[in-house]
Amino acid sequence: MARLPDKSSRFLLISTFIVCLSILLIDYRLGAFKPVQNLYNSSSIFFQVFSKEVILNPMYRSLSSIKDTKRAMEENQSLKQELNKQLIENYIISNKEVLNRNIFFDLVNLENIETNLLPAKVLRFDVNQYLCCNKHRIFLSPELTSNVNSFKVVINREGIVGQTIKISASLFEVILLSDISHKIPIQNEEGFYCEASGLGMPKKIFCDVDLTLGERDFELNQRFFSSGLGGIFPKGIEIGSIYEIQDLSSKEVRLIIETNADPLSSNYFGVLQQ
Amino acid sequence: MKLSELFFVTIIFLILSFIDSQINLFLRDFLIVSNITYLFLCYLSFRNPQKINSLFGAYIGFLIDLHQNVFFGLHATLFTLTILVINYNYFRLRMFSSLQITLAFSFFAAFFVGFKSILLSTMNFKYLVVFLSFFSAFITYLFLPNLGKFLIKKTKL
Repeated sequence: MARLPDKSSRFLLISTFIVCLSILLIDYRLGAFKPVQNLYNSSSIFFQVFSKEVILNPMYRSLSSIKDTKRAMEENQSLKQELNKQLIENYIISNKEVLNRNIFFDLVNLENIETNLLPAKVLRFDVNQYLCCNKHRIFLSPELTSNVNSFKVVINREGIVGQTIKISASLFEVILLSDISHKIPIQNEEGFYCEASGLGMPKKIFCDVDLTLGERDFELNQRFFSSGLGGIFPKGIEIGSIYEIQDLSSKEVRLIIETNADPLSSNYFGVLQQ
Repeated sequence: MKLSELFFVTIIFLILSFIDSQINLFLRDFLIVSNITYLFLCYLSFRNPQKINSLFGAYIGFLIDLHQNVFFGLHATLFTLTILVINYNYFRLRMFSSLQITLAFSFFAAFFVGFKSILLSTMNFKYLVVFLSFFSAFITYLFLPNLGKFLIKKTKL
């Protein structure tokens, strides 16, 4: 047996490794440590926001000698936010009919239904993880004092981005369409339905199609829409188009769909409250 | 290890983890993953195996797991495994030249990147990333001992 450096305990080395491995397996299979991570995330976001608003910003303001520059910057910032809000509202107006046409809504009173939109701002977005890994999440804070529950649709000016997971009253997490554990039911214009999963790559989702169930014609840039079958996403919203068709076997193909909405395009999002 | 030393080293690891994630944003296009944090742990563990034990590895690992919002225990497992391997082969590694040590730790880093990729980017696993990360780790470790000595100059590690 290998000789260890002085004072090193073989038992401690192996037992710590086994404990860590068990914790990893439990979290990987069951997600049992999600509350711990949520607690850490929400407290670190709170600390960031608090230090920025209460310590850094006042210090910066007091140090800043050019008042006009500050005012211009604030005006610029508020105009940017207004523009982002307007772009989301434009998106809502141009898609209002389809956004209201959720299968769970009362189709008779379609005109009376108002799409209730809650604006939200990005608090944390791990771009590194978004570009490299399976987990594609954003932490948002609602602009108004309103509770955001789980399973609400999140949009930006380009379309549907993902859905919410509630953490606390002033913080929620968005699971993006491209997250590997996210699924969205979609359809094309020819009536082909499938449940698209996130690919773990930016803006990419995929559908595996069993060709033995019927002849299907797919081509690049073919458009896909939300089918509304899951009861979360409204029916008929354009999600994206086919980016690549991969042959998995002679009887199965994988459609890789590029989504229209890029979560990196703005730091302002809207949550559909219906 | 004193509490002040532990706090100091924790801050260093968190800063290195942040630097890693910032560097990775640029290196991603070239299929390279930066591993300064991991190599620094290897360096410390090899330099002082009595103080940098598996409990320390688990503690830093859990902290980085929380910081990077990945599976809880991923870094902790890999860090404790690395410390375990370094401890078990300590006297063998002591006989190695600097170049051999660099090669050995680059292999460890390549394994670290590969294991992480399997869990974190399951559908986009690329052997090229593992392969190129080996070279990146090799080059990084050529400079890391000097950086490590500078960083822990005021501690007794």
